Amino acid sequence: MSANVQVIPESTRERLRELFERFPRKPDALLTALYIVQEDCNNLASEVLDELAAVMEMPKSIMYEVVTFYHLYSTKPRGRNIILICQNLCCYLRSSDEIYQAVYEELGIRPGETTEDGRFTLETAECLAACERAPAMMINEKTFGPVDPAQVKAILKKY
Amino acid sequence: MEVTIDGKKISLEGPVTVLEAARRAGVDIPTLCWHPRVSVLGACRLCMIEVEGINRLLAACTTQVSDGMTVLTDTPQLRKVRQTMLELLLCRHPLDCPTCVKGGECELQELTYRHSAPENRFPENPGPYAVTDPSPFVERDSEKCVLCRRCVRVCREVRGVTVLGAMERGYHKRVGTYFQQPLNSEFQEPYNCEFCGACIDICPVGALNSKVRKFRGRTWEGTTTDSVCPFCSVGCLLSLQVKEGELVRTVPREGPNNEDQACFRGRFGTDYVNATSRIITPLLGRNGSQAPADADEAVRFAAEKIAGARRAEMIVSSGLTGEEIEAAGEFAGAVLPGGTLRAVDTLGLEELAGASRPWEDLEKADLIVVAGQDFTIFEPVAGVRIRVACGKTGAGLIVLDPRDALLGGEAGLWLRPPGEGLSLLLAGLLRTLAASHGDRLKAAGDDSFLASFPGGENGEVEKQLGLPEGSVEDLARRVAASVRVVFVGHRGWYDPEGSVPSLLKELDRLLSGEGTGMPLYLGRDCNSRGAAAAAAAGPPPPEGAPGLVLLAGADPLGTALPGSPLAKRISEAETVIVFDTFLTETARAADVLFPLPTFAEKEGSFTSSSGLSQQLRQAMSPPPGVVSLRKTLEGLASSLGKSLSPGSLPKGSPPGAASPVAPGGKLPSAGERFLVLRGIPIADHRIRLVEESAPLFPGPVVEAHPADLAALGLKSGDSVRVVSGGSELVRQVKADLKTPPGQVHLPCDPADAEMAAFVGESERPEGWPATLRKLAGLERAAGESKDQ
Ligand code: SF4
Ligand code: SF4
Ligand code: SF4
Ligand code: FES
Repeated sequence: MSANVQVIPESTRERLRELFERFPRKPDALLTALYIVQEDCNNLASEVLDELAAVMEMPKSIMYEVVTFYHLYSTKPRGRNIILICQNLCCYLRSSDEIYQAVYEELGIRPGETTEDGRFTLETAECLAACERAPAMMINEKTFGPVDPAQVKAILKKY
Repeated sequence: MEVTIDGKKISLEGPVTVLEAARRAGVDIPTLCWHPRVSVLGACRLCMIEVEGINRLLAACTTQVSDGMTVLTDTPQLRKVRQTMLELLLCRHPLDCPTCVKGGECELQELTYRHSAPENRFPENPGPYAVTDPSPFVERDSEKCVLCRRCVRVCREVRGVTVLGAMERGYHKRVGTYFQQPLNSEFQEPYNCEFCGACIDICPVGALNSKVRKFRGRTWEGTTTDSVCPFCSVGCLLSLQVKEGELVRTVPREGPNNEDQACFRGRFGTDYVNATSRIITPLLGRNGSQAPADADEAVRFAAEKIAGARRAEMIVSSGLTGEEIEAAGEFAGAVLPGGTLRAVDTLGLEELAGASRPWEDLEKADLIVVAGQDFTIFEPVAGVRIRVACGKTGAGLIVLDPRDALLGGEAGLWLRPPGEGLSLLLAGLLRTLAASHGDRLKAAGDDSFLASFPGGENGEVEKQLGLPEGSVEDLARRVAASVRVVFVGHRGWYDPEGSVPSLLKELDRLLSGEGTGMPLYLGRDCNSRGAAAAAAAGPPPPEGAPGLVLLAGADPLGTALPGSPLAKRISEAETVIVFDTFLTETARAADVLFPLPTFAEKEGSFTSSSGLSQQLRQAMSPPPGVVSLRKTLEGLASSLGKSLSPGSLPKGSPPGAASPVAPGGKLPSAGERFLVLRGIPIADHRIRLVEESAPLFPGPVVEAHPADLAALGLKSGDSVRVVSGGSELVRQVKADLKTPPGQVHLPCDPADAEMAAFVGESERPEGWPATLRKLAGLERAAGESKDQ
């Protein structure tokens, strides 16, 4: 534990200060604060959250609850592009497991893993709010669906 | 409001949940995640009910009663839902009942017994969440967890620690910690598990257990006796379970001071009574040459010394029962030549003798002012009462505490008077209230009382304490604007003169005008309030050689603080007679030593922080030959042809009593880099006997804020030299978020003799400034070899 090196850069801290001005209390801004820090630091590993907890003045366990609840946050280093595949009921019934398999065949990664070149990280999702398009997949901020396993290769090519 | 529950009509005043209404009507609705001490969550869905006119099921614990509501709690549909919920819980729960520590008090066992279907349709599929937490005391067995989150809520809402959380989501949801780290580790700072065990008690199943009590007895075995905690002055009531002569479990029970809470010391520290190292026969001879003697021989020896002494003084611990102190007083008066009775750890408390104020008063207050240090470690239950009261009533909270001990962060105003500056701040408050808010106040302050404090002008006080300008006036304004203010004081080394109790009393009188000014005040030991009422405070007057010193339960040599004059007196005494349970530092210096029973082996009473006297009950018998202090003293008296007689020593004013403590207050001087903040020894000899507690001791370190360390180019683990006045100390430094910037905290472990000497140094400069320097390579090598 080193107290001297800052993992969250000054520019991010500045963004956070601006954010806090719009909220009555710092903890109310937690979701956005996490998003900002992840955007700038790639992920929310413990070194990052340690510092953010001090900035937010809030208990680490509560931050960790929130970080692990939303699959948009990651505590591990991530690739440049994030693939999310829904595994909840609608998607599951419409064979989302085959999409996972197709991604594995194409990129060689399972949920939670990152390709060696750092291009993709695959993650599971509990719901992408796209049940009508099940099975659904999301890459970064774009949603695809219904996805046919055969299309996966073509979709991935674009990134 | 009128509601009908299962055909029973009841009328009640709202707002009230269906669950509470049903309980009042005598209708039982099964629950699992609901618990009276924590907020409502509505997670388990076992308490489902049907409400006429609503075509879905509702959870009774989250549904508010409305007028005219008709509720059904036991229909075929509901029975089926409950059975299904239980089936689902059980398919993720290993059925380890035969070996589970919770067996006999498990709520899931009970619910299954009463409500479940005879067969489970789902395959057993426990989650893969075995947790090995290397921290002591609390065992986490997450496979058994039913995700009721009661532990999370009690840790957060009641204890204020917030180390547990409900992590992940959906099927992967589990109770855990920040990055799955052990409950107490650097990772959790500053919200570190304090091993209060509240989560163990509140867990309905065997997912949280006491590591210490595992397999030492089933919940229903042996005998269970209600008694009182022997550690701090909060005065928690405890239940002691004894099996085959061993204390196998201590759990808190409902009490006026503690509600149903306790802390690490009360729950796990009581294990010391099982230690095999205790004294069971009298010992004769000093320092290492002490040998067991038979009782007659020891009595003969002691009687001879007493008969031959010119003067003798009896010094008692504030951890003895009122009855024991009474016996010691009777003995001192009737048997000892020129006998006096003094108690240690009662400094300043005479002021509060006889008065009482229940903890419940916190719930009638609109402002609670905490003047103290580190409740979290030493009297966490006091912190719990304050936190819960504020949560319930919305009362304001002001904390005056240099260290970040959880409550500060929860307060509306948190002032951090550095070092020993608290009495100065309180005097400033009192003066300001008397001067500028006099019309609002019921009684005028006493000028001569205040005149004895240095400081004066608020601006000056603020400057000296390094507080923001106007903070004393702000504090006074908030206090004056409140109708019912309750002060909670706390002994700490910030108050070397013992002037805080009288200052708080004066403040209380000023505000309440009742003439009974009485703050809640936490003394240093479990019976400090009782001892203060029965005996004069130590240390003894310096004139004259002590001749014979008798000590009952008191260990001034071991606790080193603040008793250096007392320690000196013991070393100068011709003869030392000690009554104690263990071979403490003081007991080693005894010429003759008589064994005493532990708290679990005696009856008697302790007067707690609220002024309430509570009864200890004997839970186990002492080893053969160990008798009560009164019996031992009676034996001694009769061998001298005398007997103990009540009233032989005038109460409260024993001969040679020191004059009342003059209120002091020291000015921390500016200029030096750090102010010393003295810690309180948590680990007395009893806690040290509980092996598992070793990781909790601070060890030989000094603590400072990480920002200060960074500025000095230091990091945790570096060796530093702390220099103050003429003395110095070489220790490893540890980054500590609880210590305010600009101060250095000395955790003050009595087993650390050098530290004890450093903090006990009487010649230290005003306000106790110090410098902190990194040791150079060579010096460090020398310092380290010295540490070993
Ligand atoms: S022992 Fe106390 S502080 Fe530790 S996790 Fe349990 S409730 Fe929280
Ligand atoms: S550990 Fe116990 S109290 Fe905590 S959520 Fe699990 S079952 Fe409930
Ligand atoms: S708070 Fe004090 S009285 Fe209560 S259990 Fe802890 S040490 Fe004992
Ligand atoms: S007790 Fe009501 S939902 Fe758990």
